[in-house]
Amino acid sequence: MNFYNIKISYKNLLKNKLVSSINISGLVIGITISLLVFAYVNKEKNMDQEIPEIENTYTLINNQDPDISSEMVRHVIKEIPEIEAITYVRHVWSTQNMLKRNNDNFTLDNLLISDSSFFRVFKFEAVYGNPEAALNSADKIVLTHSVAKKIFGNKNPIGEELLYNSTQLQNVIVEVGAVIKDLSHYCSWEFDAIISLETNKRISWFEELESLWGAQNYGAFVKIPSNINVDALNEKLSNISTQNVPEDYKEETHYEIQKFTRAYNELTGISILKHGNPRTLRVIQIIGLFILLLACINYINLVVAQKIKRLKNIGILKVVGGKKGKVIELLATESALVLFITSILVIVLSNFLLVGLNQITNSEFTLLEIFSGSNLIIFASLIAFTFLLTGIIPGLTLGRKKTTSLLKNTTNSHSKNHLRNALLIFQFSITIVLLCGILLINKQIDYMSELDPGFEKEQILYATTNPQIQKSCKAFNAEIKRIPEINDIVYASSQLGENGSNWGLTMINKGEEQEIGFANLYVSPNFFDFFGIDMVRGEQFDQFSEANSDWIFNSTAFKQFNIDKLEDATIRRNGKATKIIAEVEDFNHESLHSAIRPIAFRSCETSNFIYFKTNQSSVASTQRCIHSISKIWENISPNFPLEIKYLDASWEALYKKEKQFQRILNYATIISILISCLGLISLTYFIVETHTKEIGIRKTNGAKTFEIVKMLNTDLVKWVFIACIIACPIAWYSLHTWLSSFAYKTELSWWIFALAGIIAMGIALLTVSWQSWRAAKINPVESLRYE
Amino acid sequence: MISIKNLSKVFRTDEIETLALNDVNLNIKEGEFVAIMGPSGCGKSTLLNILGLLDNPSEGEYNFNQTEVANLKEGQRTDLRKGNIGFVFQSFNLIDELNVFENVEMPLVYQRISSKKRKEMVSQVLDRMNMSHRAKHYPQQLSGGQQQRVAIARAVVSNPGLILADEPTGNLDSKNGQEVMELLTELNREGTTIIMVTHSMKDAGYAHRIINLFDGKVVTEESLVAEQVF
Repeated sequence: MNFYNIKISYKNLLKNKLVSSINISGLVIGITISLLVFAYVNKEKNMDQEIPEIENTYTLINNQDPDISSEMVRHVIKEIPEIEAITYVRHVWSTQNMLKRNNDNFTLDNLLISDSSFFRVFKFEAVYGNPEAALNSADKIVLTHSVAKKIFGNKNPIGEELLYNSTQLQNVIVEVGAVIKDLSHYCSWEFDAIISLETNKRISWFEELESLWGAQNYGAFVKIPSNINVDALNEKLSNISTQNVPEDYKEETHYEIQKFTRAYNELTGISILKHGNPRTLRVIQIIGLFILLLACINYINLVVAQKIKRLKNIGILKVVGGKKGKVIELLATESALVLFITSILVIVLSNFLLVGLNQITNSEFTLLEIFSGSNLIIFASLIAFTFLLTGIIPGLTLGRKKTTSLLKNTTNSHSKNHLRNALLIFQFSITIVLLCGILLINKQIDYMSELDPGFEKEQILYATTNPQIQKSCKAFNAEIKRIPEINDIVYASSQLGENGSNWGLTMINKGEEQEIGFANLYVSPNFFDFFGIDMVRGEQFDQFSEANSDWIFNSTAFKQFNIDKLEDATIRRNGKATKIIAEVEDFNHESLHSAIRPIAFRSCETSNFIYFKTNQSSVASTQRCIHSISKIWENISPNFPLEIKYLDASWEALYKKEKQFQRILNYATIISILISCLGLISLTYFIVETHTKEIGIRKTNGAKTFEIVKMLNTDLVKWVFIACIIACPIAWYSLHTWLSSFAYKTELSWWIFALAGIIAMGIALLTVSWQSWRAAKINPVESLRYE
Repeated sequence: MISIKNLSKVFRTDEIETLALNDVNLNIKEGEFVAIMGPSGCGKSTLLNILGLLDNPSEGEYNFNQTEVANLKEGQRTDLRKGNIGFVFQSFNLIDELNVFENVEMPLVYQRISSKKRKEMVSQVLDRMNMSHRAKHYPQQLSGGQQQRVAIARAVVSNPGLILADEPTGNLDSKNGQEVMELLTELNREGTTIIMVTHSMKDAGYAHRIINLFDGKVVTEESLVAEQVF
């Protein structure tokens, strides 16, 4: 490589500014996007690998359910001595948690509670103290580094005391036992702090609950020595002795352990962990591959075709004495220069897009991470491969050609049309599939947000309550009702749309005993009026319902449990028979991902959530209303700030995953369209180049401009049409599969496919027509002179 | 048929201005066979392009069949050209992807003539050019003389009143060249006006009149036949 070659290459690049820049930008966008996508996919597939000894760490599952009770954990410890350590952990029971130091309050968004073994199973690196011994007794807490810094600054906080206030526990002095490093974004654990399980013993109902075999409120994780055969251990776990297991649970006791690294993508039922979406991930990975493929093929195609245009230059080089080696050297230099520029731009663009990637995927990628490991190998081999195809191979083939044929420019440029057309069909098939995807996802999201869930959700605010509010609920209610903007208030034990808790009890129906499982919701008596839910039969709760433990079931429960008459059935509760007093209409008490399940309502005076119905719809008056509520709130519960939310917004938020998928797909489609268009521009460029003379001849013989445009575009329309035919069944199949994950789904209408085809066709025509138009406008005198 | 007054054509690039035609005056009657001669770069082809309504002059008047055409838009020029003017080029300018029949058929397609009628017209003209047996062949399968015969067939298929030929024998050997010239003469005899640009004195000898151009100007006009022919 010498300076002269670099100069020639640079000049040649500048000479074809438009084509060169289209060419390079296509490649840069393609490589960058796919590298970012691969970095994300790689991360999602290799979560938790950084945790020490993770290969020996497993999730405990019972009967395919990752929810485990503390009794079950004790059962496994007793029967399986091979297990080195086992831990069980969950979110604390309180909805609001605060740590107080001196007079400063710090809210913890994500507080876990765990037995003492947590850090023996998950050996997170310590900043201060020894985490493995830090949760050994009650009132101990382990903080992450950033939380410790927020509270204590740069001081070592081991042994320091903090005041812990939560909705379940107040004024508990806890001691900082250890500080661990902040969790990396490669870790599926997500918490601010972990508090020792023993601390919960202060809660009145805690020990009773813990003694229930079926209180499956924990995720449990085990560590086994590396020399133990896991299959044998699983065999043993599955056939564990059930001698001490309560009668009702004997049959369902089949334990199993699964690699912890599988939890992120496969055990999505573990609510304390972050989770991925393997199906979405696969789609994203395929899209990334396609984008890379399209960009590279486009680029190589265009560069090789451009070389044909330069045959004469190379002929002259040979006339003045350049040998084969010189030709290869020149073309290799050109290719290297372009790829060097491309590589720099890829890094620059990656750096620029990193913020967006981190935002969409909730990650913390650095530029170094994007260009390391397998990504670096992909990047380097791509550049090498492209260099080979665009520099070395053309150099070899052209260097071998006769000088006279080079000067005459007699290469047949029509022979490669098949490859280019196939590429075009391939590109547009992908684009059409993606377009169908976007159209359907939008339709489904519209459908879900328009679907009536069967309860009122507009102009309703809600907040989590706390012991102070619950204790003074009568006074609080009275004050709130005095706010002119508020029509009514109601309490319930969970947020509508999210399942609170599941119960299993015995029902006696027409004299026969029957085990029934259902969702359970405590509500204040006016709940059904408040949300506009109608009674099918029976009466609403009255002032005695709480004391009588009355039940109201929804219609699905009545159908599923075969209850004909209200009087036929009673529920056994604490040895007493309790009555079912009414049937309510079905409504979607969970997100629209699942069909309506049986749900039971019980009466209560106050509960974990309070809902406010306002009679105002304007933002200003709602703000005024919130302000009035918070004043009353602060008076009654000074320790717990009011965190108010909008019910309709929370309902919408249940479809976050779909919306994220929609966003990713939107970007992917735009990029894929962009790259396809770049491909089209280059394709048209060559169609026009090779048809310049024909255009002149046709115009001389009476063709008008639009007739020439039509001629140049006809082929394209044909290819896009074929792409439609290929894309439709693929799109139909994949979208049909995607839709099947919804209980409530929109129709997969024919117009989605038609519209996607029309959009693709429109984009293609627009891209091509300006070039065809320009070519068709050229004076035939000029085109005929063109050789 | 053609009347040109004070016609000029200037080509401009960024820095250079070239006067290709300078104040040209010319009259050509219907049924004439005119040869335009002159050295390379004298403006012959430019004049032919303007005469053929492929290009507009920069200045001056051009009257074609009693219509002033000097300032027509491209679309109007195309309409006027269709069916009225046929072109024959030195390099034949056939479309490689189309066979002989399709090449000849092309002007008729753009005149929106029905396919049945087109077939009839093309067969007739190919018969006349002795090319019927080659109708399904592609240009690269033909000799130069055959290709030029196809080009002439394309030029005359819609029975235009005027044929413009730009060095029609330039790429042919003398035998094929003579054949082409005889064909043009025959067409002229049947009433078609022919304007031909040529370097060859021999070819020019087939014409009634020779116009000599030099540096964009008409320098001499010489008549080769007695006036009474017209």
